[in-house]
Amino acid sequence: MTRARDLSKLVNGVATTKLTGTISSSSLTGAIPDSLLTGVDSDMVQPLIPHAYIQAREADLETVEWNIGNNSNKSVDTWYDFTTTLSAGTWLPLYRGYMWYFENHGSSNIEGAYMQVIYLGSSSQGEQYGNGYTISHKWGNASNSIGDTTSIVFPKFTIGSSSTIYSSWRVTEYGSSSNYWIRMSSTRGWTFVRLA
Amino acid sequence: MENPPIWTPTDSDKRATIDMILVRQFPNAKYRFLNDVLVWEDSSPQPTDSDLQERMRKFDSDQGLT
Repeated sequence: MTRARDLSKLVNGVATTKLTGTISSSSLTGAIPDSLLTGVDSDMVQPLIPHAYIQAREADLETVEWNIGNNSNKSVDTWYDFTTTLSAGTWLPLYRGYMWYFENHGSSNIEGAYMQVIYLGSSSQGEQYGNGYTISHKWGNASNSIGDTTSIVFPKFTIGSSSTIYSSWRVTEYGSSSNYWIRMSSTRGWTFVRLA
Repeated sequence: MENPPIWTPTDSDKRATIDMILVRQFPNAKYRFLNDVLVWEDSSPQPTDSDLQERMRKFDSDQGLT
């Protein structure tokens, strides 16, 4: 008689009312011999990965932080270019921009729009590794500046050797020319996560 | 709901920078900033550093920022 038929016979012989409740953990001690796992679908037998192992792998994750703002007063319709160096590998770029807009006037109406552009590339003002565009309404007055947070996941890219990486940003003003300044926060920017 | 991200600049936060002077007073100039350093992109006569500093001082004065 096969093991499957043995099991069928066993289950059929037990009333379902007997299968309710909790199996005591003390009844589950000991290891199942490999010989009894023959023929079991492999999807049902997954290796257990200790949590500490996963945490250790996370701690090993290499990231590179690159800020492209310094919180000083900057201007619309102007390119701000930055360069850094990354070592060889495959990288996942994560962008988190924190832009502040200030309009020093008495109106509290929306007077147009700002378009923020972010490039990542292998040449000056290039976008070989991706680009992002966000639109914000143009609002403010002499008392208030407003902040805009933009987060974009760029496609992964691979470089074969240590390379210069270029990133550029620009804010274009549409509508009335009433911008006083813009500021890119120094607390955020690029994070590159090494994938390989 | 959280308050929107609004921040009130102080007088110190309103002081002119070279960026602000260039975009207002030299709208046709060709330039960009590389790692926060001004880079001119054409060979036409450019304002001197001292000229820009004087324009910044006047801008602040006109704004009542002493």
